Amino acid sequence: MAEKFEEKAPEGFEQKGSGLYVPKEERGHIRSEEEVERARELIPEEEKIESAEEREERKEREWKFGTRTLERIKKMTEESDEEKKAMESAKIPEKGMGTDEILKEVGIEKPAESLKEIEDRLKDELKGVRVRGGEKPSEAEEIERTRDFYLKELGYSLEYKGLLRGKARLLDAEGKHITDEKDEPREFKAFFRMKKEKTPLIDFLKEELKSKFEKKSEKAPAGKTKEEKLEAGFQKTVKTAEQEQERREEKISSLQDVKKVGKERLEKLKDGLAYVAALDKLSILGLREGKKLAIEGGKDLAATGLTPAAAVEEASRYISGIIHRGEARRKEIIAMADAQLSAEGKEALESRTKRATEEYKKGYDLIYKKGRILRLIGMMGGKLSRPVGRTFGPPPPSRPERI
Amino acid sequence: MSIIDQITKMIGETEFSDRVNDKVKELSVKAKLRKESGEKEEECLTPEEMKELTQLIKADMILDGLKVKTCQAYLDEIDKIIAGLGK
Repeated sequence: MAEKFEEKAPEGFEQKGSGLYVPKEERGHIRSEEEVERARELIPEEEKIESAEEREERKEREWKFGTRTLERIKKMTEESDEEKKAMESAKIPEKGMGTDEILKEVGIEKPAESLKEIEDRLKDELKGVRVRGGEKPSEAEEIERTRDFYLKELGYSLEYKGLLRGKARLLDAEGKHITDEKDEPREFKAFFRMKKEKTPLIDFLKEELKSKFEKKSEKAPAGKTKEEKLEAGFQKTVKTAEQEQERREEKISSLQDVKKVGKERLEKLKDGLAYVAALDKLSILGLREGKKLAIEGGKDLAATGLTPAAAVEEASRYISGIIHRGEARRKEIIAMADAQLSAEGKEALESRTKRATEEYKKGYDLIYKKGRILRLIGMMGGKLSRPVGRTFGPPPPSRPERI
Repeated sequence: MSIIDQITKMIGETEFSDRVNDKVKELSVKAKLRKESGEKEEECLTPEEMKELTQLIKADMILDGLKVKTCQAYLDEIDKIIAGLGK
């Protein structure tokens, strides 16, 4: 006997009578905005069709920012995607980080004990720059970084002089001029282009550091505790951030108005400002700089339910929100590109850096306070039979385990 | 001031991210209440609670560190641009 033929509706359809099939979604159903958005997310990027609004925005961007900036943004986005993928597949260490390691990785280091230690740190920093940016810095950049590194170590800053700011006087930590034998402020050439060029400023700074350590060893410094040294490191970081912001604001205010410059320079200025405005894609900056910290601290981060990549993204989004606080960003970007380097453009540039510096200092303050709490918890943990974690200072022999 | 008092005071004065804030404050209050009810200082938190508190604070320090690094990278980019504009 022949088997009874059973009619079966094709996938995605349902039967509405004999031989009649209709899509499961009722005809006449109007999709909500959320449904449309969800459906759009499923379409591969290359197959997406621009909406009228997106097309208009793209055209406006192209017109305002020019191809060069758009290419940089595109490159930045691609780099971000690659970094994210790399982070997702990175191996997370089985042990969490020690407090000292976190502080060091973030940049709160105890002050160096010798010139050799400083030289080693400088080497690491210059090596790090190369790795982070992916490109080798120019000789001029390397010299500039070396100069800034020594300045930071000494707590000194520069006071630029001259029309082109090519000369600089040195200011000590209290803001007083460093003087020569005649009690006149010492003046140096401030910028360099090539390595073979003589750099008296750097030589002088190096000598200052050397004599600082020599004096220190003669005096046999009062034994500061490790915590006091860390506090000194923290204070130095905050002070340096403040000094850098002062210098930044000074540089911004001295930038020339585009109305006074030629066409080529005007394009360069417009391009540079448009790129600043486009730096709201901060996750790439966070990914580039925070990758090591997030992966090494992956075990601790897991306690918050975040993967290393997600933690970097979250931190970057937070910072982006602070920098662009209370601003209608797209409008502001256009206004900034329009304003170019007028007072409005300078003000926008200054306020962004101010917010970033404030957040930077706040972040350091929180890290330092939390480090102190961990130290106290570690002290209390010492009274327990089980270890609870490593904090400042070497772990006592009875609790060598690290959490 | 006892260690536990110092810890709870500092936790109360420090800003934590939303991800860890409730749990950190909860553990801190728990420790304080146990201390007030006459528990020995070292017994105000169990080893597990202390381990959890340590890990949450460390995770938050790492999150702060990532924020700091993002700010620094942003400021470095701006500095490069300003240097370029000034030339």
